[in-house]
Amino acid sequence: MSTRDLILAVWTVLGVCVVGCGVLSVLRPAAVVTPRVAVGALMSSWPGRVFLVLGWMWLGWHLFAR
Amino acid sequence: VVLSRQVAVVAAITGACGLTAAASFTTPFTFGADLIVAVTLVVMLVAQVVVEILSRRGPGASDVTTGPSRKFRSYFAWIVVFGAFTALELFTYFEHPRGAYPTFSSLSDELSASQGGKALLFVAWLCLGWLFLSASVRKRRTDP
Repeated sequence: MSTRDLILAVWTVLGVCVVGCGVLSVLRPAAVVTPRVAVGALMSSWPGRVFLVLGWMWLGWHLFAR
Repeated sequence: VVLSRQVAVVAAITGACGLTAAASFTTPFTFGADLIVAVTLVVMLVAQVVVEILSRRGPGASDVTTGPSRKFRSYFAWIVVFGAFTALELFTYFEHPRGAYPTFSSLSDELSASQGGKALLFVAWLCLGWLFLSASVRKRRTDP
């Protein structure tokens, strides 16, 4: 197994964890909050709102424009 | 109110489909790509400002709250996943060569090589923006 394969495997595991957390948040909301609630907690403060919105804007610019 | 909300949702979905289709034809570092992304960013900024203004006008808007408090442990899984994502991104970013240590960006470049892949990635980015916006709206509704 090459280094690339190993790193790709770790990225895949992370992706599965994200999906798993999303599914778990629907099945057992008391154990894991939904993505909307988690984001809502960050968005409840000014710095959190600015950080998330600017981060989202930078991500789009980085991935699709530059 | 329900009708206007439905119209807004239909308009948002139609606009998102149009932007996604247009974005799938663009190439980075071109005017077309800059324009499509800039239009999306402006729409998001305007929407956030509108939500912010409405939340300040609402009753009890000065008392910022997120509704019923939840236990910290219910956020723990997301914190761990986000921390692992950040750690892996930083690790791969500082290692070389890039082919052996692909970052999230380099993987997205590979996905964007095809038109369908780019459209998929653009939809995922729009969904993330929608999540942020809907979380803002939800916060406004749960304000006392």
